[in-house]
Amino acid sequence: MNGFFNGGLLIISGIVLPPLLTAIASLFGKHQSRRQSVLTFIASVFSFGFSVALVFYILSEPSHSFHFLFLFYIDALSTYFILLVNIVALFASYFTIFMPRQDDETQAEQDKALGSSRFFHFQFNLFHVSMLLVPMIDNLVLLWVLITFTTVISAPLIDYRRDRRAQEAAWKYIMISSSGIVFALLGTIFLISAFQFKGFPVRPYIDINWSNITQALNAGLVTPIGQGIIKLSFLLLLLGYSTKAGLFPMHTWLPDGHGEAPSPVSALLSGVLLKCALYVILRFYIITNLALAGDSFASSSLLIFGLLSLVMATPFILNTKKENRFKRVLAYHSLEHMGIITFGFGLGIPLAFFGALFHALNHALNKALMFLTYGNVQAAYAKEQVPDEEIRGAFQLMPVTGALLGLGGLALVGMPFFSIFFSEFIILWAAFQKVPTSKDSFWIIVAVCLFLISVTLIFAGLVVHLGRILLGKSPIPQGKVRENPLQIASLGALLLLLIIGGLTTFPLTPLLQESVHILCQGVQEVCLP
Amino acid sequence: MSITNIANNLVSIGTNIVVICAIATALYNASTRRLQNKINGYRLQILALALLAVIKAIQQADLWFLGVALILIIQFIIIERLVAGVTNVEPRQPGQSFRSFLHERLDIVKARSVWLETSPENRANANIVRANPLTPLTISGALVIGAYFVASQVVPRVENFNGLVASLALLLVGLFIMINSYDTLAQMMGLLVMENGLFLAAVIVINDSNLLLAFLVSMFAWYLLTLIILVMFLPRLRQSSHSIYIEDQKTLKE
Repeated sequence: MNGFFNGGLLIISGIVLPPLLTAIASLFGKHQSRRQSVLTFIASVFSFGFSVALVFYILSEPSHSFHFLFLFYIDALSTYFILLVNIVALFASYFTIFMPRQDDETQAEQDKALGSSRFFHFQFNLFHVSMLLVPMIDNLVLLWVLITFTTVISAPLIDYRRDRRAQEAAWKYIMISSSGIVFALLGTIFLISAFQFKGFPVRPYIDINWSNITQALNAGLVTPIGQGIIKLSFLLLLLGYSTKAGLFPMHTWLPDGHGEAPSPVSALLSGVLLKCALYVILRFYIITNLALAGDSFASSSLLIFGLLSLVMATPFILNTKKENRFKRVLAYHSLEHMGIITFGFGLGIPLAFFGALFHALNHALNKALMFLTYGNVQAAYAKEQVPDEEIRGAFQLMPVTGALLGLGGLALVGMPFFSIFFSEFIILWAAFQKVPTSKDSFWIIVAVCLFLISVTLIFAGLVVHLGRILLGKSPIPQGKVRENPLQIASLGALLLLLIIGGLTTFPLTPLLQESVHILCQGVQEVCLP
Repeated sequence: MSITNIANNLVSIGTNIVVICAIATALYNASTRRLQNKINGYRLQILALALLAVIKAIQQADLWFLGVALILIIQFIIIERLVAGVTNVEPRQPGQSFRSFLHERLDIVKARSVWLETSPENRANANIVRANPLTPLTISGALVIGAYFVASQVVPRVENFNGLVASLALLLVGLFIMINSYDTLAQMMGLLVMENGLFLAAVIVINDSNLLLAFLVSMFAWYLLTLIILVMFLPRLRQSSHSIYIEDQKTLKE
């Protein structure tokens, strides 16, 4: 399957080219925002369709993977993340159609006040492409370049409104992301320099590709110059990429960035961008596990980072002060859920990998639902000059949207029969499974206790926030706001996915199992057959 | 002792001197309060790193290292003007030519007066702990020692051990400068010091062209990011807030 033009390459072209071409086309379009939005949505539909085709293609043979154009590599794990990117992008791009805009006469004013529609769609599509490319890239340094590029392209999207708050949020985002990501490049340089390839008089070019490093480590063709430098590299990488993954202590851009961006962008940032950085961490996790040959350093680091993120999210979600606006609260939920996912990977056993991967998808879908639904509520109140912190009685004013927001919120905090509950349950089950076999069983029990306490407190915190928004008397007279059935239908579809995910992992089970198999390389415990 | 050995020893001594210079300038950068001094310290650091890249190019007979030196020298030349561009943010006057606008925007002399004016000691409610130069110097020194301690514990004593320690130290000190800054421009200088840590790692740790080439590509992505901050975000932020102080950029918490 290594031919230059194979089925895989055609599918990949189908995934990447539609948003890429739409990005280019957006630059040449006139100020017809709705038409550009429709084009963006169509591109996302095509890209999503081809990513489903990729799932079938990759599952057509066991342990199927393929290289293309020297720099790219696809396996089940990358396919899973490509699918995740495209599901969220599909819904987010659909909602760009409904973003607030003015008519043509006030277009010049709009261009001053808001980011130009052309550039918005250019950046939105390019952001989509960059996140699609992250799971495809094989070269470790280019992976860093792509993650940096996601910052370059998403910062102007956060600054879309061009007001002071949006500028401040974009500035914070770009400064924190840039400073964090430096650690990741240093970690990459250290890691690559720490390997000695046997039988190569000169370092081969391919040794910058993670697939080759993994293969060479599996085959014993490469030895690290010392375990210490591998550990240091992994810590630097984890610290660096966790800035983009929204993990403690580099998460501080999350509430500002997610809070000020337009809702479809917030959905992409929270649902997808964090997962892309997580994907990169996972690739380095595999390399580190193989290089350390059975040492659980990488798993322990992930477990600690994950648990700290979860615990640190709790007080921020419990903060019910007015300035803690709802989108900021949702951003802190990203910190919580990224913590849960990282905690799952940190357990280092197949069942936990399965749960963590599934949780990544559930969180992405749930966050898309929450940001897009709340975006509707926010837009309706903003039309009547009601500021964000004064939003009350949404259930009374917009009953269906309010119900969707309420149910989405309950799903987000792990209410039974929703997908988040299911995946959190799998992770906890895995933790209990690990206790009898682990040397650190006491610490795992402590970690599980902290996990449960945090999740319970967070449940209470979000219910208070939701109650404030949904219940009470709305400052806008009833019947003044009409709910758009096209928006409701798509939000309903998202909720339906969350309910289905609460019952079964089908049809993703084979893809998840293949991905778990990849993650198991270098891990001590026995993996899935 | 052969001539090759003498040459190698000289290269090694030269490398260590440059590495020490890089750390010394980072410490100076962390302790000084004035932006002009920070820029000067940063430029000196760049020169030291460029010299190191030239030494490495000669030692390894690898022209890509000269590419690294060239990038650093370009940075040395343009950095002050770029920071001036972020400082002078007056909008273009009606009828003003673009050339004259650009000239005014990049005017270093005009920018220097703003830098002097916005020095922390001129700030009424300046936090004395942050304003006292000895405190950041002590903390930065501790970070350098910490980097050395951590590296000596985990990394085998390889040929490039000092460079590895220094690059890690520059990253930590750069991060500290960012956290400890009063104004957005000084914060930017911290980010640039961190970037120099990367250059140091690239020049000292990397020993093969392929990885160096990949590193150069990644540095272009980094420059894109830096340029976006300097050309797009910081001027806008300064225009809307009418201030370069970080204390004044807190509308999100209101």
